[in-house]
Parts: sequence; C-alpha cells; structure tokens
Amino acid sequence: MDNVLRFGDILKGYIAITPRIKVPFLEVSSLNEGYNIDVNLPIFSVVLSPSCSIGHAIISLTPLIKVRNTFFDNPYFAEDLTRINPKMEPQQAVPPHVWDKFPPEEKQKRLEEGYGYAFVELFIYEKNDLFPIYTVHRKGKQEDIKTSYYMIDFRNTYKLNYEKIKTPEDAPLESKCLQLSIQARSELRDKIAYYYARVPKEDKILED
Amino acid sequence: MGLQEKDYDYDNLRNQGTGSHEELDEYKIILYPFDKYQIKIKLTPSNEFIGIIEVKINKEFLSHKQKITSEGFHDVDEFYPD
Repeated sequence: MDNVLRFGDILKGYIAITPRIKVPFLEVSSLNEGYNIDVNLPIFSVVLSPSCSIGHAIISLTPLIKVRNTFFDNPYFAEDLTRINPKMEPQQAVPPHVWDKFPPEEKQKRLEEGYGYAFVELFIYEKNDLFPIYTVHRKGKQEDIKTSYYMIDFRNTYKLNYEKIKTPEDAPLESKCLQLSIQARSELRDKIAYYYARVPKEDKILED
Repeated sequence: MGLQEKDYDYDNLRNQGTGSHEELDEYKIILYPFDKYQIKIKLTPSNEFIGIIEVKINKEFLSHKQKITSEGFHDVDEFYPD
C-alpha cells in the first residue's frame, strides 16, 4: 500500500455528517423550524477528493455503505457486483425477466442508448477480508446472501476538516486501510467525472 | 524541332503510360473537419497548401454531436428498489 492518501482510498476513524433542514433559513422566523445535524461513525470512509486536491486540512469523504439487495436479482451483477461500475450494454443493466417484459419500442429506445453506465451515482467496492460480512435479505423464497461487497454513493459526499491533512503525503496515513488498484481507481475517476458531466436536457437545447 | 516533338512524345509516354490516361499525382485533396464544417483542401504531394476547394456542413459531425449529447446511461433505478 502506498504511503500517501489517494482518491478512492479506504479510511477508518472519520465521522460522517448529514445536516437536515425543514425549510431554508430565508428569514429569522425560519430558525424556529429548527435543524438537525446527524453524526455517525461509518466503519469505513472513502476519499473522494482528487489525489492532487488532498491537503490544506480539507478532504472530501463518503461513507462505505451496504449494497442494495436487489442487485442480486440481476444474474449479470450477482456474478460480480463490480460489473455495476463500468459501462454496460442495456440488456445487462436489468434482470432478464424485466428486459423480456419491455415492449418493443422500450427495448429499441434502450438499445439506442447503447453502451452506457447504470447507477451513475454508485461505485461498488470489491469483496475484501477487511470488510465485515453481512447478510443481504431477499424477497420471497430466494435465499439470503452473505456478502462483503460494499459501495459508495456520490450523493453522500461531505467535507471534513482535519489539520493533519497537509498534503497527500503529509497526512494521517495510519487511518488508511486499503487502496484501489490503478484500474479500479481509473474506473472510479471515469464514473464520478461522468456523474458530474451529464448535461441536463434543458441545457442541451441551448447548446444546439 | 523534331527532337522537341520526340521529347514531348517521350514525356507523354512516360507519364501517362501506354493505353492509359490516368491523372498525374500533382496534388492531393484531403478533408479537414473544423467545428460544424468539413473543409476540402488541396495539397501538393509534399503536403504544401494549395487552396481550399470546398467548405460544407459536416453531417457526420452532427451525428457525432447527437451521440455525445445522448443520455448515455441506463435509467434502471426503478428496477432495483432498496
């Protein structure tokens, strides 16, 4: 493992925070509505600051969370959940019984999209002995599955200030547990870039 | 004078070949994509610029643009509820 903090690294010991509001505080009376800040300690956190932007006591993190049980409904994913990370064919993105029930025009529409990402907000972390095994409960008569796949959701990203994070090299490296392979880090970089690079329909019209 | 005619015939024979009237490779034309346009450029065999022959809309580029502005992802979240 490198003695440096890098994009995609798994860390332990960092709290995660989620502020919650009922209304935006546009005037003094809004403060009566109150607010909450949820604090918890995830087992692991993932660095989402680009490697070159780690430092100056700031780092972007996101908690490592359990995968959705329904991912296992798709045999293509169930075989290896990291298949959710790169682009895929439209037929691979849904369970076969869902694809078969699509009307022809829906199939055609999806086929025209071609090779692309599914779950653009999510990135799966490969099973690892370091990760606690947990049970995935499945609906109906399907057997529960024990797994140690985990994932991150880009929407959960938050900022943490820690004065000991000065540069990627001059940082509390004792909290680093795992790092991605070069290929997996590249896949994460590509996917999060795509997550932010999507152009909304209303802007596409202006660009034409 | 007679010699010059012979030289002329010789050059024709050498350049065009027997029974052939092929065009000489004195220039080449390349297509250069620029923004929405496709520019047809005339160059010497050693790639020196001679001139622009034609500027037209690059229809292939438009189709490429349509490709890059497509959704590019599979909307499948509804099939995987938590």
